[in-house]
Amino acid sequence: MDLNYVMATFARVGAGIGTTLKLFFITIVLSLPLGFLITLLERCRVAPLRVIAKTFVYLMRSTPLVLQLLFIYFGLPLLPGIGKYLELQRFTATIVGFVLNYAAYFAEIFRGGLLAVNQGQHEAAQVLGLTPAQTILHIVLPQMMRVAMPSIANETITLVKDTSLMFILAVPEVLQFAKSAVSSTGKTFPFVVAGVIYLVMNLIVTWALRRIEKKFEY
Amino acid sequence: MAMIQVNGLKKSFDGLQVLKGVNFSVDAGDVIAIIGPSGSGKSTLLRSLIGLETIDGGSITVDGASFVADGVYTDARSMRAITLKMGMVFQNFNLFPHYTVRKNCVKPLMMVKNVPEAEANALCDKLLAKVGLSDKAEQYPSHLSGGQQQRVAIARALMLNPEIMLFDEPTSALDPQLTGEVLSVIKQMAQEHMTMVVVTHEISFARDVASRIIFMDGGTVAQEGTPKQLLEESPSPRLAEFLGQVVR
Amino acid sequence: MGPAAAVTLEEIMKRTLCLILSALMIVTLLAACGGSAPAAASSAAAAESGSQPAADASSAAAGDNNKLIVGLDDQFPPMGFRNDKNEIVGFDVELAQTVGKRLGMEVVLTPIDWTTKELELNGGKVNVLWNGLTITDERKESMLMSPAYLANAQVIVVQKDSDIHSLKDLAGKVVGLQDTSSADDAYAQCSAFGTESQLVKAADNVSLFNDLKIGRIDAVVIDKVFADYYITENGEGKLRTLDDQLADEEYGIAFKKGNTELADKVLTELAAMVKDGTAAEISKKWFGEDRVIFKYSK
Repeated sequence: MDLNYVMATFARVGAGIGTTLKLFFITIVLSLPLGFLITLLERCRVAPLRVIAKTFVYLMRSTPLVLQLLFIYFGLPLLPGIGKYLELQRFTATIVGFVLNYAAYFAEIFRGGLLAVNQGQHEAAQVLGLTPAQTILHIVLPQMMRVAMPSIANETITLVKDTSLMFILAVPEVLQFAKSAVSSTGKTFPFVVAGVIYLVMNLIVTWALRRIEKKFEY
Repeated sequence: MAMIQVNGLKKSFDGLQVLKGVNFSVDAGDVIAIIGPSGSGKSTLLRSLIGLETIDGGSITVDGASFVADGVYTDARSMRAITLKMGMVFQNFNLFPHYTVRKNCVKPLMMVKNVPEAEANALCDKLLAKVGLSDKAEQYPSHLSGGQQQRVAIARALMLNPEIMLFDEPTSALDPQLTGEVLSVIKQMAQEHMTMVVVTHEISFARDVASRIIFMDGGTVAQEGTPKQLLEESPSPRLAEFLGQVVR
Repeated sequence: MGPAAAVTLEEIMKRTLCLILSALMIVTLLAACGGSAPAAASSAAAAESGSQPAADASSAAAGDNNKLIVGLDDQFPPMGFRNDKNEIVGFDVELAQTVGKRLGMEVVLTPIDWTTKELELNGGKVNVLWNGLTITDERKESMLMSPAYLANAQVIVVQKDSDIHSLKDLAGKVVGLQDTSSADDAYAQCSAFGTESQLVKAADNVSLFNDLKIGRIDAVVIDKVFADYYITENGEGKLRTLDDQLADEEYGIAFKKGNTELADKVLTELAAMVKDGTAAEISKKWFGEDRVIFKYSK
């Protein structure tokens, strides 16, 4: 195995890194706040909203992400009436699926985090005159995040790997290019390359998450 | 005019009536100690004063302004304006664990009253000195003892310059040797004529510091009077029984 | 919490909603240019071969019969696969590209997941499936299938020094094949295997061959076109094909049921290519001989 081959294989498999990273960042940026919103809705006083939020979380966590992607891309346009407005492009459909799915998981993580902040904190904030918004932002959120960070880190690392599921909607990314390379050359080295790429990505992600976790320590 | 006027307070939790029509008043400069057995409604009463519990019937008036009449509450904004005149110290301190002692004191004031940081810090230094914790300003609550945390909690509440201070069993969560430091802070505040309502099990504290004692039993005010009246001269049979049970 | 808490949710929801809405706007913007992202990725290391714009661009215009949006499996050499530069090449690819060029149609090569090919075709995301698609009765029912253009068979590949020489010898051996492929169907229908063979199903053909080389499986049932290609590239001297063949079958091109307009256009042109020898040339390039058997009349 010579260096040229190694470099060529890296170039070939690495062509998918851009798409993988795009999906990763967009998903994280959108699903975290959406997840938090859903957590709040689950605790809402308006019963129908509560029900919608809880049903959403149940659905997204109980069905495979691959299935959800297929449904969004192929199934939505089949809905009577509104179907024709729901024709999404492949990458858009992928993003929608990932964001909704991960938002549900984050919602559960935030819910656990909120439970960990005891009622006394809310009461102290209230008697000191903090508005509800100030309470959530300055008192509850930091404490919630400390509890939630390890789980969020877990999900984030899972996301790096889940990006390879884009294949089902035919969006080419790292693993797909590796498979193409393997099937056309008959050698398995491209899989090694793909593995290395995921390892490096996760190394960076893990390092970044560790630093963020430290910020919430007290 | 009374600082606090409470009439006909009623409160039920899940069908169980905890407050069955409570009346009392607090004048400026009063130090009221509320004592009584568990379940008598002491904490519920105190928490209702500052809006942590919603009552079912009765009225509460603070400094002439009423935020609930006949069980009907005014809007949130007016209520907040009224309840901000009071400060509260909790049995479990409820300090913000992710803030240092200084931040615990300074941030609420800055957020609620838009006080500039320098001014807030100056006031913080003053109050920490008052409770004897100047050297702990940069520590996190988890590194302090229970007594120290409670004193920080008192300083934090005082930062907003309340007219009335409420204490919900301030020493019940403390080791016996730590109660003294907290009680002496409260005593000092009494000497400075701060209007206070203290729910407590510390009978000797009540005797020494309170201007009036309210004995609550079964959701009503069973007996009320000066410490001398209640504890020495003429405790009611029920009070006597209660006092006999409280281990000195 | 006291009554003041009633305001909590509304305030927070408004704030977070603003955040979500602005984020959604960003996403919409990104999605608009996101269409070029997958293409940018796939052609990053590639010299553009002219027909590989975004897989995304297809979705918008699949109903548009002026584009030939070819759904293919980019992991099925020699019919459709990627070369060193990640360009999509292959026998079927070249046929499709030639037809498209001659018809003046834009050819959009769209590698799809082969298990979703029916969804892609019926959903209008691609308008033709052209990649070693075996003609079966079921497929004739659910798609508009062309006449056969290439003959194929399922062959059995074993290690060179294996003791398997005929179908009978497979009894009691471990046999591998690709999940949901025609090999899968052929195996199910062929009684020669009996019930003593142990069946292993894999997601792709290359892993089957790797298992075969290691000895984890004893034989692989696979398309002849792939076996020929793979053994030439990698297995020369290590693997051989049995003389016995299964399930002679034929490859066809599939269109969405009812799309006779496009089918007619494409197949007429293909027939012309057969007539003038273009198809034979392409076949010789990939297989060393002319294996095209296409006949078409309206």
